[in-house]
Amino acid sequence: MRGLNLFWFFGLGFIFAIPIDTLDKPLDGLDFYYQSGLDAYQSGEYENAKTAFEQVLENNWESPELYYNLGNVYFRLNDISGAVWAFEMCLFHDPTHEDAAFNLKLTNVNVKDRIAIPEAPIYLKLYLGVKERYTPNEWVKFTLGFLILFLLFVIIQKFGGYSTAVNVSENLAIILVFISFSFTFHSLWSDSKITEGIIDTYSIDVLSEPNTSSIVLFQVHEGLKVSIAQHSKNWLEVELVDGKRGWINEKNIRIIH
Amino acid sequence: MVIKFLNIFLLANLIFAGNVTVDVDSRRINEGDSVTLTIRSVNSKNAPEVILPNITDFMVVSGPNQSSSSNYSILNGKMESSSTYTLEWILMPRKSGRLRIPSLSVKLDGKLSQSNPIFISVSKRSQNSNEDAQFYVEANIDNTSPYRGEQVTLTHTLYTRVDVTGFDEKMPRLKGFWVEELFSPSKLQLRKVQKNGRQYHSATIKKSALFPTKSGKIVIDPLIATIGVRDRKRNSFSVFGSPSKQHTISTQSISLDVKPLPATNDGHTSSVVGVWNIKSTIDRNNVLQDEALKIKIHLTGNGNLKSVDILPYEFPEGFEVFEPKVTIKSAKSQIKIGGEKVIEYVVIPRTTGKIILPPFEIKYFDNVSKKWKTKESKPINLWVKINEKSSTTTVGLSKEEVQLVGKDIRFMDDNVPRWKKSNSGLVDRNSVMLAIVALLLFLLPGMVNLRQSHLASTVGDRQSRMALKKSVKIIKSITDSPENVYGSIHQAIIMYINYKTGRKTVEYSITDIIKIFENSGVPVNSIEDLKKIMEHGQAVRFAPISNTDVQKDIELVMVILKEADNAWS
Repeated sequence: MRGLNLFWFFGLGFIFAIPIDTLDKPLDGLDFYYQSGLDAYQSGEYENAKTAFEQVLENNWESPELYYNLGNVYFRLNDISGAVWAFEMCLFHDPTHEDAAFNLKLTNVNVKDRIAIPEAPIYLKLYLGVKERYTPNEWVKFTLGFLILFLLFVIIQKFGGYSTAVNVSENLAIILVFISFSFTFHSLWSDSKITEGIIDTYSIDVLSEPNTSSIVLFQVHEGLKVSIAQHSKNWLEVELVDGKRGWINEKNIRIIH
Repeated sequence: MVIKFLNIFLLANLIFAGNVTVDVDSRRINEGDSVTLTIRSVNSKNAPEVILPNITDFMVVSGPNQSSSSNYSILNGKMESSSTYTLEWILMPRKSGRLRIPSLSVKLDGKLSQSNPIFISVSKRSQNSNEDAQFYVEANIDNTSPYRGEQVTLTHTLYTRVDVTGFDEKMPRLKGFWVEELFSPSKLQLRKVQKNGRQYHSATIKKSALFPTKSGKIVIDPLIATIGVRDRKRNSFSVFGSPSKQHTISTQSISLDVKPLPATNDGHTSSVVGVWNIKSTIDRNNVLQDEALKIKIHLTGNGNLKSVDILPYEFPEGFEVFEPKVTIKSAKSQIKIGGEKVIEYVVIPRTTGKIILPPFEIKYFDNVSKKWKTKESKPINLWVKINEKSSTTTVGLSKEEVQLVGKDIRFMDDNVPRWKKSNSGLVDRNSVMLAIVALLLFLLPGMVNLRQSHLASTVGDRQSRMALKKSVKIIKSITDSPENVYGSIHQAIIMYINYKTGRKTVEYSITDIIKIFENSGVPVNSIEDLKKIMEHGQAVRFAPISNTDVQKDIELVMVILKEADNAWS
């Protein structure tokens, strides 16, 4: 019982400690910019569409739909790194956006650097497949939803008397709480700790140290997705999926966040 | 005399181990008909155990089917019982002639016995034998001497002159052929036909296209079918009409003499047979260096779609070529197999300039004109422009990525955007609301418990506060005769005391009431007044009191109770 109380304390405490979305409402002119971007895209004026969509981003507003359409515009303008970045951003905010996933795969065909990585074990693929299907916010909602369900069953048991069906449902609900809590925890942790970015320069040398006089380790090209291991002034240490590490100037990378 | 002797001899052959018999239902059959081999034991403890030996002359279609029966009879007041175990196999002859079922080892109740071999005379299948048959299945092939790879059509047909209640066929394993089903009805469609001068009902059971994969003699095994027919002998016990009887029948086997394909003149070898056309397409003729493009080769015609292929092709130097993707669109009729085979290459030109891709060729043996033919597609002209971003560091596309080459991105998303402030928190307001609901639900049972214990602990105080209100309510509602008025006043005072003290006493004497009021700090004059009122209550039984006095006492008792409530400690 004491253990259960500690779980509630830390579990709810963890959820309440997560940064919360602000209550601001979009500006009135935002829809105008966005709509003009869509109109320009439809009429094939991709430069105008790009300007309109970027205007929305400059006003600090974002949405999966905006990133998706911006990705399409970048693709049409042959900006491979921009398209990869925008589709990745779309999927970051809505991992279930199928069109963005398709367009990202299609764009990646044009990325020069192709790194062959060994196939992940099936259980890991399954786990990551489930985890990455939802955003951290959605996982928080699932956990809280199951928690509410569990508490309702507890209350029914307490005031309505024992019932086998309710007891089984209660146990099932607590199992779901634990499972979704694990996914929530991992999802929030990886989102806050792991930063990724897209190489934004056609071709860039990756250096052994964060200064221009150090040794060139290897070369990467636009559109490649990398993890950012650490930051030093205006230099970033990047890590490729095959484990290669090196430093590049931060102006050559677009961060996914 | 001779027949009698034969009967005795036959019986001696069949009954060999006490109560076990081994027999067949018929010793003279036509090719394509089945025989039922039966082993029956009478009055044995257990069923007979038999391991069927290798019967070379027959095919075992089904079995062993085991059944048992018991029979009881009372004769002259004496009850007799008998039990029978039966094992049955259905055997189909492999050939005609005098065929043999070898001797069987039967173990019955621990005793091993050996049966005699059984000989069955199987007449060769002929038009005459089919003429007499009430029902039979027939296998037909449209060409018994095809070329290797040439299509032949195998048709199985049922002919019947009796009511068919069920039909189940077992297709033979067609070794040495690539098989494609042309027609296989889910339900037999019978139609009237004239066959051998007699009227039959016939139905196509199955029609298959066979492509011989080797030359030489190939035998198509018979199709075995179980057919249920209406038994003409009416069963007097059956209320549903004539019962159905199952028969196992088979087709004849067919022998094919497959001819090898003739040698080609140009040295190119091919195993493609049929009539074919070739065409090639490219998704665009102007490309940038290192840009992937798709080349499709369409092969259309009649013949074995799986085996049809182009002649070996060498792409010019400077082309990166990926494994081709092959799609087959089969176009079946009830006679021919054909369709379209598309071979799709994804290629990446690494060099620049005008490139001419030589034609793709197909070489096939035309089974109509019986000649080798070669057809080719048109050459493809390609203009590859220099790509300034060209790089030679690509590792190569994965299979999944190759499928995407040449495709376009999906169109814009015009759904209403789900706006969110950039760099806002990870969790939205809905999650916070859910967290608050969860917290409230978490606290709810505790809060309910707290409230319940608080109510339990303050029940006295609440009752005490209620005392005056309840008592005054009783007094105010008094409208009875003076005797009853004082009774009600007494009740109101008892209720007041009970509420104030938490007791549940039903009756108090005047002395008790006065004592309780005195102990509770009620003013002395109020107690005196109360005492007087209660004495009026006792006196009213003997001497009448005016209504005015009664009314005064009612008002006074309310004042006294209010004073007492203020003073109560």
